[in-house]
Amino acid sequence: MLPKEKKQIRIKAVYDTDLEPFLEKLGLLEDLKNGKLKCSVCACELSLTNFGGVYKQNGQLKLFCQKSECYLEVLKTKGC
Amino acid sequence: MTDIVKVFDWILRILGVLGIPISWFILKWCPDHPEYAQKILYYLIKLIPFVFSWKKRKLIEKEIQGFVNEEILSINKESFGLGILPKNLKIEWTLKKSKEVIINENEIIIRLGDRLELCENFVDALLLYLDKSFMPESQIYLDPSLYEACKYCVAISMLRKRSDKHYRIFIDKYYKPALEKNKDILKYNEKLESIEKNGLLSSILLSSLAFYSNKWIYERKTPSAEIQDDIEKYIEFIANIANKKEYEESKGELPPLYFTSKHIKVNVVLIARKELAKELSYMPHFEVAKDKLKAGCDIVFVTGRGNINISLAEAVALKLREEQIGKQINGASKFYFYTDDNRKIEGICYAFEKFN
Repeated sequence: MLPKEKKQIRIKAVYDTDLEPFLEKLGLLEDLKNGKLKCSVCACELSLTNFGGVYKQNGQLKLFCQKSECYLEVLKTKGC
Repeated sequence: MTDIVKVFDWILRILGVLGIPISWFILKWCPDHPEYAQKILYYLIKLIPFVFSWKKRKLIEKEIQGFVNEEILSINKESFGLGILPKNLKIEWTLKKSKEVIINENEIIIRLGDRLELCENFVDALLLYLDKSFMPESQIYLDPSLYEACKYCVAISMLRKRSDKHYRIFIDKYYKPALEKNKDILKYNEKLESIEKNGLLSSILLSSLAFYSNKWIYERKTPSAEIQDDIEKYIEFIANIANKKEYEESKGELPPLYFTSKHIKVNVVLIARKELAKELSYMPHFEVAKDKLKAGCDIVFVTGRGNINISLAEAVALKLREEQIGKQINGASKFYFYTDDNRKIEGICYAFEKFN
């Protein structure tokens, strides 16, 4: 028997106060704090203040900043 | 103020019950066991920010999920349950201490929380939801720019009931940049906006596109330029009905109410003729609907605005059901539209499909 189709779209989110442990689990916290990570769209330097989210593409983790243009671009190019 | 009094009263009552054990704990047990008392105090202090962040998280979750799901329900009702937004929204907070963070291919995890503009939380989640859930069956047949334009139009219609701030942020920070990047969206923008303002977006346009997409998938029709061309003309047809007054002024006649092309055959029975409304006569409308359904029209929409026209539309729908001329698609679609002087007027729409 086929599994029942899910009737929900689950949107995964991370809350501000969980951001540090979340990034730590992904192994990105230190690099982010040292300014080594960049937004995959506009290439600006990412920090804990302007971090907007993360997504996976072709097995690679990519990060983006909080700018609405970057968010829209991620939605568009990723075609999730 | 009354809430504070209630909370205070509640605390006093609890203290009344728990007063003796608590007093014993604070005054006797803690001084006797200072090493444990310090630890307990440490954990209690640590708990405070956790409780606050949990509460805020719940508030964000409730605001987004509650409002979006309510709107999904209303849009689906307006569009006869034809699958415009087939799934509900659920916010899932990723980090639970016992779990590892797993991100699947093509999955986005967004940040929500105490932003400068709190409305951005809502808009981000709404856009991501629409990106994943909006008219999944129709996407293959629609021109990508038209699909995007429809999606934004649905977002705008959802945001009409939110505060001005939500709307302004959506337009300034998301909609405008999207238009600048994809100029083709502009091509559809104006038409869709007037269709939406006149209450015909979910009830007629999107519902018929969803209806035809399901039909074409069932018939194994491949997406083609011909289908896209038919859809473009169909949008023009609905836009003319939405802008009926302007159309009449410029062309000196009523806009056409019957659309027929190779792939789309739709008739709109517009119950808006004053002379018929005065006589409370529904028969001419019924005859048109009957003729079109018998002549092979795929869908006939019977729609009216304002009390008199709504009752006439109901009478036409009842007669069509009684005489079994077409198959009614689910219940009635109730919608609202706003006149130029901002009067809110109720409208109703019924959809009938021909018997196969």
